[in-house]
Order: sequence, then structure tokens, then C-alpha cells
Amino acid sequence: METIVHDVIIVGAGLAGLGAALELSADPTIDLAVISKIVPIRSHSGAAQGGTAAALGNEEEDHIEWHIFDTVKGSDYLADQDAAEILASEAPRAIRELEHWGAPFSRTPEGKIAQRRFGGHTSNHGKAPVRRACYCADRTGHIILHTLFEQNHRRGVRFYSEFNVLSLAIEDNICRGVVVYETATGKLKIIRAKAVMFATGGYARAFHITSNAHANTGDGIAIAYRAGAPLEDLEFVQFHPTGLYKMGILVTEGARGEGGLLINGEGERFMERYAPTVKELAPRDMVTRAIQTEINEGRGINGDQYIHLDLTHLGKETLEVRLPEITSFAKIYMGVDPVLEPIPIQPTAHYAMGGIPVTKNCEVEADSKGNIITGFYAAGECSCVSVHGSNRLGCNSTLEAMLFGRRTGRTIRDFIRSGSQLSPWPAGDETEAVDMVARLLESKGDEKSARLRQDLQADMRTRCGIFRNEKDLQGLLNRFSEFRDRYSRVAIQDHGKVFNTELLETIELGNMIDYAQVIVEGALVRSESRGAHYRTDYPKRDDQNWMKHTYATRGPDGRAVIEYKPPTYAGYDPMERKY
Amino acid sequence: MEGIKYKWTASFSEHFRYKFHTGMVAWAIHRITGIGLTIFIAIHIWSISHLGSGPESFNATMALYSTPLFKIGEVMLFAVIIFHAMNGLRIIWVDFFGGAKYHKKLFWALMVAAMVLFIMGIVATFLPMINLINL
Amino acid sequence: MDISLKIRRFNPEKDKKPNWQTFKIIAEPTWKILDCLMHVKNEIDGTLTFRKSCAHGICGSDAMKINGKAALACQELVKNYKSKKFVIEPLPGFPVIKDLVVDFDLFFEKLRKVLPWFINDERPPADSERLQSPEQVEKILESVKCILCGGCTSSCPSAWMNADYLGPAALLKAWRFIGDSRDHATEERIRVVNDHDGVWRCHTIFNCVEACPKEINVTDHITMLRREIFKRKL
Repeated sequence: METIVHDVIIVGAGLAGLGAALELSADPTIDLAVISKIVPIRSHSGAAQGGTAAALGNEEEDHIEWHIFDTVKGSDYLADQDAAEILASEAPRAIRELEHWGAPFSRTPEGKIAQRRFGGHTSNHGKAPVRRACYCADRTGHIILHTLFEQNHRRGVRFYSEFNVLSLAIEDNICRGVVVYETATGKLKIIRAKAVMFATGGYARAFHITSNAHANTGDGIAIAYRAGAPLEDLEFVQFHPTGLYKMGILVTEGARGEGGLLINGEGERFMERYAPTVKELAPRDMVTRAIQTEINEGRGINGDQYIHLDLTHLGKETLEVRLPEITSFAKIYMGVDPVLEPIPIQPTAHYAMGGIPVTKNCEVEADSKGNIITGFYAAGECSCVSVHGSNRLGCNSTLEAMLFGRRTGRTIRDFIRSGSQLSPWPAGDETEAVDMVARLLESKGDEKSARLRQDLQADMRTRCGIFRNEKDLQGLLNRFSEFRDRYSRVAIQDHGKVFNTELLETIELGNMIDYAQVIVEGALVRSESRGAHYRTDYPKRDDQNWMKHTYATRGPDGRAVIEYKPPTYAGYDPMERKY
Repeated sequence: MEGIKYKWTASFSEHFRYKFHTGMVAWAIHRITGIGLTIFIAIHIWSISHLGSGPESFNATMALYSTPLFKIGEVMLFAVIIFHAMNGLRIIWVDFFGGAKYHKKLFWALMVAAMVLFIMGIVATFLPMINLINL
Repeated sequence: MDISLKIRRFNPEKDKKPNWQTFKIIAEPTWKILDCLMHVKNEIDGTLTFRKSCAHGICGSDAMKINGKAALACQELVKNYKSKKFVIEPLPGFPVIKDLVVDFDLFFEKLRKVLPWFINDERPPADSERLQSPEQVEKILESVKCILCGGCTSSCPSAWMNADYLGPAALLKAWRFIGDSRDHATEERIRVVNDHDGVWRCHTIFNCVEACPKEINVTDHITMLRREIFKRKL
């Protein structure tokens, strides 16, 4: 098999991957390559809409310390507080540097970066919402992605575009490289490197009704898991409160930041009951549960499975200037003009708080005891520092991805400069990937991958969704042996070598089954409710027993072996989360 | 001039397989009328050149142009000129005065003007003939 | 409702030339064309190949020719078409790799010619962003929307007939930087676009404006570039 060697490979070309690439490409002696399974500019970071948070204080008074507090409280006190400190303190400089690289943010009349309100971001420890989210209309992710890509492009960074990573080689706790599948030719190749970084994004495609792209199948998370790395806090899945009804397409929290209201079937602004102080700008998990409760209790519009997001009072100009994308989505997909009518909304699977556990410097942890895997790094949504704990505030993810992505780049740069060696490829490690591809191509079974995928997605939504309980979770967990059995019987029709998307989608399904099981196992074991994880049979937060992260490693029988680690403390005592 | 490069990314037939929009129709007709006008000028120069061959030759050519067939040809020529002139104005407006933002409205407004001028032209052409017949 | 999809297929490993294949399916009126294609791939013919990712018009992966016009398959809804007979082809003017997947190499090569990255090598302010007024940002906000889907360049007859024409997308990107008050490489970019294969190859046909899924008036930006060039000549 063809073997390629680089100093550093980054898997994923979203904000985290590109941020790291930017840091590394500043040193021309480092041989860097970025691998992306889709054309890099199409990365899902570009779909982020509302904004990216930084305590710049351009529109009203704001302090870094308030941002730290909001992030920690928003995480329901599971975030590693020192990580939250890093996030909030480095944010202002990171955003300004982004602007120096040409990012076209919207501006205040004085010419500074404009900021808007966002859920969970408050002044003075929760007194009132604060304008902390830096934005460009409602296409903030798009402009940041393009800015980072353009700067990388300027430096001539090498991209392997449309290459899927199939497996990761780790031996003796040292990372040695990856096996990739070249979509254009169907060839498998080994890429060895001194340092491998995963920036592969989220996993919400495991759920029916999601805001995520088809590409978000958590490949990096599953591959790392199979290679022996642990996964942290996977049970915390954020369901974004406002997705277009039935379609899952995201309607930014910024709409509520600009003054949008959530109305139930009785015409009531129900968030006044759930979060009296900040109302619609409460953290996402609270708003989602509020909406779903209203729907479950029959107060949806016409008793149906959706409620209304009312933007009619914002005026045509505000919508055109500040929220043009979502205005066009509402028109195109729902036939609704937000200037005239409210938009039908339901919660949508959106973000993975959990992921590959990393240190503050983005080195992947080998276990819950502080050991690391040499030469393996991760940042962005696929990683878990943990900055977001059990619930993420809006605008903190684009910030985290870019900031920790760049941090990873610096960590790797120091690692390479310290005289790191290229470790030998474990003989035969590529066989696993070769066999998997061969087996899928030759399979003569009777199962269709699309049917299995839809089945899994539907069940994940119903039984491991917003409201969970032991019976549902156990029942779902028991189904995984059935899922795996059906997966072994999946047959594909495309046996070609060129652009065999059917093969790739089936491989992605295999990844989905692997990490979905870990999500369910984590949800089952955690007998409390915290942040985005809500158990109807354990509705209270249990700080005594459960103030800890879950670390899931793949056991010999395919089930997860779960260990625990408490979050780091930096002065923020857990409070009741009221808004 | 240097050798013309025949590097195409699509075949010529793509023009007919792609959906027509106002802008493309205007451009296509502008091209066709442009070719038409070029042919006309060639014919015109050829016919005027008969001046050099003496009065009978010239008068014979002019008599040919008074026949009904050629009168209809004149009308068509006028349509071609009017379209090309009006669309030409539109192109100048788009290039120099930001007309790209409302090019379709510009097109239809100028076509209305073109129709008016065309009718005026027809009347001017045929009115003397009608008067002659009546006299 | 019953709809038919006549799709232009090409398998480089089996076919010498592209050919048509028609699928008849039952679709919901609210389905996007992308949903219809996925239905065919999932239920009928797994070899049907096309790019897709975000499925809501922001990544630009699924640009293709639908009923004769370049568009994003995820933004075209079945119910918006009177005729329920759909003709689906790859983007014109791009080499076809397989079925509806086309090669974007030339497209990105032309983009590179206009230096599609922010250039300002002056030392930025230490603790602040560079200031830019809302009016100054306004100038580039429309061109910033571009998702590089390829629809404009693919629909342009000038681009069909001239492989060296920079094309609407590259010219739009040139404007994004030329019009940005903070960027310093305006002169170089003007030199690049002020070429017979640059802005002057545009014949204001406006197909790009019709094709753009983000409703950017690309021709407007190309003529703005021309006026910038004139300003400098006078």
C-alpha cells in the first residue's frame, strides 16, 4: 500500500483544523498536510450562524470574568473551570486577530466589531443578557471559515481534499498515522506522521431531525474509540431549541438575541414561566426542555409538535440586515415570511459537548488518570477539554474551535521542534481498514444501509433524546447487537472505485453505530439530570455522586468500560441553575 | 492577429440546452442583430457603390428597393436597428450607471420605447405611400 | 405525488459517454430535489453519485443543473415546479467525474489568480480590531455571501466559450477584497481583472445572477469592478 509521510497531519478542515494549520504553517520547516473528507470550504463550521463570543465590551460593559462565570454556570458546573478561564481570557485577542486576518464582521457606528445578545451570556453573573456575541449578519460561521481557509490558502497549505480517514494507528500509547481512502480513486493509503490531530467535528447525524450536515457522522470520534482512546461525556448531546419544524434546519439563537419570542399554541410567551429573568435567552438545554414540555403537554400550535418563533415585531430592516439567512430559510423551506408570520420551530439535535478527551493543550488523554497518547491531538467539536461541560452556550463553540484549534497548532509545533521522532508503522495495522472495505464491497447480504441508518436515527431521537429514562435507554442499548448484526448484512450496489459514495456512507454508518452506543451507555449510567442530559427518572442534579466526567473506553466485549474524573475547580462553586 | 484559441469548457449546443432568461435572450438577440447589421452595411456599401457605375445602374438598384419585398425588408431592418440601439443603451447603462441592479426592468422599459419608435418608423415609412395612393 | 427524474449518468469505469436514466418515484411536495436524489440512491440505485453535505444551502456541495438551470439541489423544492418531470444534470462547463460529480480544479485555479485572501501586512493595532464603518462593510457584505458553489461560472456562456475567462465567481471574489477598505492589494488585483479574459470577457448576459443560490447580483459586482478600472484610468 502506498505510504506517505508528513510531520503533521490534521484531519478535518473546519475552524479547529484550519486554526491549527494556520499556526503550523507559519513555520516553513514543518511538513504539514490537512485531510478533509469533503472539499474543505464545505465544512460544517460554515453553517454556524449567530456569532462567536468574546468579552470585547464594544457595545456595553463586559468582562472576561463574567464570560467565565457564564460558561461554567451554563455547563451546569461540569466544565473544567481552568479550561473555561482559558477560553474566555484568550477570546478577545483571538477574535481581534481574526479581524486582522480580514474577517468581515458587522460593525457598530464607531467602527468596532458589533456584538449581540445570546442565550446564557449575562452581565454581572446573571443579572441581565449582555451583548457578547460578535457577528456578521447571521452567517458568522461562514465568514470565519472562509477567512481561515483563505489565510491557509495564501500560505499554500497542502490539502488532501475528499480523502476519508478509515483508521488510526496507536501502539504503545504512541500515535503513528492513519489509513485513508481516496474518494476519487478508491485507493487506500497509509499516511504516517509524527503528530496527528483530529478536528473531525460533531456527531448529531445519529439523530433523526438534526441541524448537522450529512458529513457529520462522528468519524473521528468512532475511529479514536476503536483505536483505544477514551471518549468523554458523550451522553451530553445538545438539542438546539429552534430548528425548522420537521426539517431540523437551524434557526440561530441570534434571532432570540435580536428580540425574537417563543410562543405556544395558547399564544403564551411560555419562557416567562421557565426562566423569569432572561426568558428566551436562557441556556439552550433549558429552552429546549421548555419547548418540548409545552409540546408534550399538548400546548404546541394546534396541539401539533411545534411552537412558534415570532420575529414579526423586529421589522423588515432588522431581519434583512441582521438575520438574512434564516429569513431566506423560512421562506424557502417553510413558505413563511418572518416579517409577516411566526416560524414553526421544534428542537433539533445540534452539538456534541462530549468527545475525545484532551488536556488544556489539546493532547489526547489515554485515560482518566492524566496519561496522554503521544503524538495524538484533538480540538473543536470532536474534542472534550471540557469547556462546555454538560451544556454549551451559544457562540462558545465557534470560539472554542478556533481558539483551541490554534492552541493545538502551537502545542504540536513545540512538540515537533522538541525533536520528536517519526514512529514506525505497526505492521499490519492497515489490514483492519483493508478488510472492512473488502467486506463491504463483497457483501451479498439483504440489508440496506439507508434503512438501518434511518432506524438507528429514529430510535436515538425517541429513546435517547431530550427526555430520557432507564427503560428506554436499556431497551435501546439492547438493540445494538441487532444493529451490528444487520450492519454485517448490509450489501451495497456500487462496487466501483471512483467516487463510491455508497461505500463511504456505509462506512460512516458503522462509525455511527459505534459512537451511538457509547452515547446510550453514558446516558444509562448517569443517573442524574445535568445540563443537556435529562432523566425523567432522576430529574435532579446530583452533585454528591455525579459531579464527574465519564470516560468510556472500548471493552473486550464491545461494551464501554466507564471511569470517572472530576472537573477541575477554579473558584466557581456549584449553584442552582436558575435564570 | 495572434491565433484564435478555440478552448471551450462546454459545447456550443449548451446555449440551447440551458434555460433562457431575459439577460441571455437580450444578449443573444443583440449578437444576432449585430451580425444582421454587419450584413446590412455590407449590402448598403455594395448598393451605394453603384453610384460609381452611372445613373442608370444606381436608379435600377434604387427601384429594386421600392418593391414591396424590400419595403418589408426595410421594416425588419428598422426593427433590428431599434432593438440593437435600445439594448445598446441598456448595456451602456449597466456598465456605467449601475443598471445591473435592475437590468430586467431596464430591458422591458427600453423595449416599450423601442416598440413606440418602431411604430413611429413604420408610420413614417408607409404614410407617404398611403398618401400617394390616395392622391 | 408521482414525479420522474431524468438523470444524466456517467460511470467512468464502465461508460464511454454519458447517458440518460429515468427514475419514477413518489415524493412529498415539500421534498427538496436532494431528498429525491437520496431516495433514488437509498431505495433504487445505490450507484447514483452526487455531492451533498449541509442540505440547506450554505455549503454549496450539491450545485447541479436542474431543469436547465444551475441551482443547489437542497434549495429546490418539488412543489415549486409546475412540471413534475425533472431533468437533472451535472453543472455545465465542468469536466464530469461521475454522474453529478464534477471537477472543480479549473474553477479553483482561476480563483487563485485574483489572490483570494486578505492582504494587509501593516502592523495591526495591538489591542483592538481595525476600525471599519458600517458603510464600508456594507460595500462587501453581498460579495461575502458567496459559498463557491460554482453555479455562476457554470451558467455563463462566456465561460463556456472561453476556458481562460476568469469567470463570475473569481471576479466576485476579487471585488470582495478590492472593495474591502482594510485590504491593501487593490492595485495587484485590478491588474489581474483588467484583462481581456478578466472583466472584459463579461458580456452582461446575467445568467450568473439567475443561478446564484445566495441571490448575489454577480454582474453588478463585475460592472463595479469595471467602473473602478475606469476611475483609475481617468
